[in-house]
Amino acid sequence: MRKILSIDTTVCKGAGTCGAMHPQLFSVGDDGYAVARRTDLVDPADIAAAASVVDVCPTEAIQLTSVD
Amino acid sequence: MQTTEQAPTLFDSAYYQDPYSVYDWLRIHDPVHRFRFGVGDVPMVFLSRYDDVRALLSDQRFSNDGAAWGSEEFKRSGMIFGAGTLIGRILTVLDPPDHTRVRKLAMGAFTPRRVATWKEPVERIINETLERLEKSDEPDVMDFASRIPADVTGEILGFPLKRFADMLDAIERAFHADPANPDNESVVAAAFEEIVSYGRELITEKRRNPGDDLTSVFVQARDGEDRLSEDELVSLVAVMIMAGIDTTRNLIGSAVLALLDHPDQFRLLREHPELSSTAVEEFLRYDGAFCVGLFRLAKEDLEIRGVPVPAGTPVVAGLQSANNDPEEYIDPRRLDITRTGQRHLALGYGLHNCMGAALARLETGIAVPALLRRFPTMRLSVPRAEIRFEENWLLRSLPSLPVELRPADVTR
Ligand code: HEM
Ligand code: SF4
Repeated sequence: MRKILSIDTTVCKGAGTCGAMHPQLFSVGDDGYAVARRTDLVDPADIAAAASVVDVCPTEAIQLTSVD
Repeated sequence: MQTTEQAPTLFDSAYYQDPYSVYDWLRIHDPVHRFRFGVGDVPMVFLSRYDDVRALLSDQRFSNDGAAWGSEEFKRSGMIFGAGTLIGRILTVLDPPDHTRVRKLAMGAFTPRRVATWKEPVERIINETLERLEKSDEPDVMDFASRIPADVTGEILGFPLKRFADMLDAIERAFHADPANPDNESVVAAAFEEIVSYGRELITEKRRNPGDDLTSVFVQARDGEDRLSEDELVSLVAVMIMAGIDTTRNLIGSAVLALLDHPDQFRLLREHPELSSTAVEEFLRYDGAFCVGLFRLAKEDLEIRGVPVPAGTPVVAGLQSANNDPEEYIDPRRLDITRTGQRHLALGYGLHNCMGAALARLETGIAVPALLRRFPTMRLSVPRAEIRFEENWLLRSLPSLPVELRPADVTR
């Protein structure tokens, strides 16, 4: 399985839940928006980690899409 | 001869009226400030710089759980609130993985779609509250500011009105108990018991008759096989009330005071209500309701900027100090409702950032412009020097903000 991780910066509020939960995948930049530190995820542990943040982000800014 | 300038005192009477000059001193001279907290004489550390505060809030070497990680002095101080009751296990004190699990289940109730459905009740309640203010003989902005989040919270949680009033009364008794009363502890314990029983009652009712209120959503929240336990449900309902009402009240109050202190900004927002979303962010930055974060306990011996911080030390995140750090904000004590740039930390940051942020923004963003539109020439009815903040270490809170709603001789 392969997933693409991205952040919708038009809605992200930069409150940093994602980076606090999984700093290896997310950080909040100086401009106040989250960035995905890696976008192409193949390791199931990374995918599970990213998925767990999707539901916790208060603005639904985190997108995790499947690629075939 | 050299003299070392004495650090100003945190949490004394002068500080409560003007915390910002204390923060200014600390940021420059002692950014990792060791001090003793008045209650229990507990040794603590205060962080005042933006970068340090933000780093603390996302640092997993710290815990929010005072009962598990606090120093002996801290545990003895009696400041671990609701200790031993279900309220002592609310979301704000949980660490991962419990925190992640509960937060994830609860966050499902705060989707942007659901928040959008709250606009109508919030507008309706604000209109009713404006009517009441208009009729008041001694109009006080704090009555307006208190009423809005209380009514909104009760309605959103799906409480029957009378029951909610009882619940608020119990919360008042739990938090404003008189420490001089020898029965203090049992008064507080009884109040917490009551809060818990109202919570249980509401949850039982929503299991039987689910509605589209927040409590019903919490009751039904599921993540695969995982769901909230009965105790977690009760403590979630309680935390919504405890975290959502006084905070929003105080933000609305200090926003109105800030506008009265900055007439150009008052006029700008009155004429351009479309600026309300940047204005709300600026109100939060300028005098947001939480002066400091909840205590973070060091889980191991560590150092911050070379200052040793032994395990168990409560570290205080100076949220409002960070939000007024001149390294981040130009001329920080000037209210500028069009300000952009660095985000404030007034709603927290990291794992425990405010769960009700969208609701707080919605309420304040409607309430403040509506007040200005209705009373465009409003002004204080007492001298400015009589406006005093409460001596509350956590929340920046005005007990009263008396105003003349339509002074006869004013045009603005
Ligand atoms: C102007 C209003 C508000 C302000 C300034 C505010 C501020 C904050 C801050 C600073 C924190 C983080 C505390 C810390 O990390 O030490 C927080 C957490 C929280 N807030 Fe708010 N808040 C407001 C309104 C609300 C509302 C309306 C609700 C609920 C409906 C709410 C629910 C919560 C909850 C549940 C938490 C704990 C989250 C967690 O521990 O994961 N807040 N708030
Ligand atoms: S949790 Fe969501 S809103 Fe918060 S910083 Fe991450 S992406 Fe942005």
